[in-house]
Amino acid sequence: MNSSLQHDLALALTQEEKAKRSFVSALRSHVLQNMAVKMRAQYFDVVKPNLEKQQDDPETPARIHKAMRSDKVFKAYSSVRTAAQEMVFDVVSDTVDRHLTSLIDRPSTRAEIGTLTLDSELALPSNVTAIDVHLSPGSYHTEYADNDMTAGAIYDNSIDVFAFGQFGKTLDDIGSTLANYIRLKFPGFSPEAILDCGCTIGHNTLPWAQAFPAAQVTAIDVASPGLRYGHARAESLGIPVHFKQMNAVDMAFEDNSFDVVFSSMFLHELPLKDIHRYLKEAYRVLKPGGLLWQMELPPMSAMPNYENFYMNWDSHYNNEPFYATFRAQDYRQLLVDAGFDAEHYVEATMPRYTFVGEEAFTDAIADGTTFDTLTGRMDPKGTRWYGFGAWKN
Amino acid sequence: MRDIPRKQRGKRNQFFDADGVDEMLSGLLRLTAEVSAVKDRLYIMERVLESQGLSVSEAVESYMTTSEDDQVLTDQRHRLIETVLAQLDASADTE
Repeated sequence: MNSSLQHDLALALTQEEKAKRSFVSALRSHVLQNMAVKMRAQYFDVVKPNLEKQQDDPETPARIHKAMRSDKVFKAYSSVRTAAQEMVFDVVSDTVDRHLTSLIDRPSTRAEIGTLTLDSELALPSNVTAIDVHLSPGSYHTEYADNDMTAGAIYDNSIDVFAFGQFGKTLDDIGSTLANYIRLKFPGFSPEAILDCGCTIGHNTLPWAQAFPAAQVTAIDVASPGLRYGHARAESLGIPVHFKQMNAVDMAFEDNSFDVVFSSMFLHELPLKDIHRYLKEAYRVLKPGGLLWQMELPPMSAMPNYENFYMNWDSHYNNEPFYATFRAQDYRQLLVDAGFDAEHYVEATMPRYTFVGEEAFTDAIADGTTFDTLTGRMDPKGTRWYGFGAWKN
Repeated sequence: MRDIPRKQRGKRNQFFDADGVDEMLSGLLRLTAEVSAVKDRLYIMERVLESQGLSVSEAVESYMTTSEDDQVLTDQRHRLIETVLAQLDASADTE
């Protein structure tokens, strides 16, 4: 597997590194497709009938989880999936470590079109620092050198391996899909200022600058290694974005500053109290008539019990401890609690924009929101991403 | 030795009842990745030898796989995974 990274920060890989990346991607694909299918069949063919004989409790995701914990198919799936996740970071870290000095000292070949503003005094939240999120050693904040980009480079390279092609050719399908949904669904809406919260390396931020080229795009995160890397990455791609080190639960922006506040795969990494704080801040910095728009995992209320058990695996075993609590919330109520009106709530599921193309995408989003077993899942059979948010009065 | 740690902080999840089984499986998969890498390299080396003669090492290092090569290697990797995980994957069928 050659690296899919199509920018100046792409690291040269040895043949051995390419081969190991390909193996780990194939292993991830095997676990999430072949082994997952067998685990599902094991539940419905063996575990569930046994449960129904033993007790009358209603089926819930927690009950499925408890029963599956002692099932050998679940044990095999979980053990291999954990090992594969660890291998993703291990194999890419070898490459990043080998290139780190040259990556940091890499001369810029282009004029600056965006900006990078770091805040070394910012207190980092414990949901980032206390655990190695996603089982990534060092998590997203650790710095190994001055002006370090290690965690950013590991992230970019790891999602290339992790996603086995399911995030699109430039790893930005989530951002592309959510941004183009707004562009195509609301053609009269022309945002001038767009904010991405919890941007990591900005891979899902850049599509907003491409979908709305007249807008000024700002991206914030608490972790500086990803911001340094994201800034250099955006510059190398010639896409203007202003990266700032800032906590989304306590933003320094003035009230009514943005037409769009966006995040992707962000809320489920926050403790519930911080979700509330973030949404109130998002409401505050949105202009009247502006849109809050989150790409997230679908709510548990919209999905069948087995899919909820399956999707919440990460919360129990992938160092994402707030994930299941978030999915159990009433998303509309979360926004109402933050100040939005319930009648201005919007949600949608949508096919992957960079996979299906604009024409098929436009046709698909004309339909109402539909949930199925592929919603929010990485699956070559046809993942559908989920978004929810609200317009501010 | 690299600075980036190889192991995440905290206690590793254990799924199998007996101590050490999860770690053994992890080791097996890592070993399999090594074997896979060797197999990939040998495949490429054979192609290079056919076309380039004696400068094997440099030629292998610079060889870019074609889409046909990628398909062969992808199929080979999936076969290897299925072989190594055969007993685990088959467990659903033998209950």
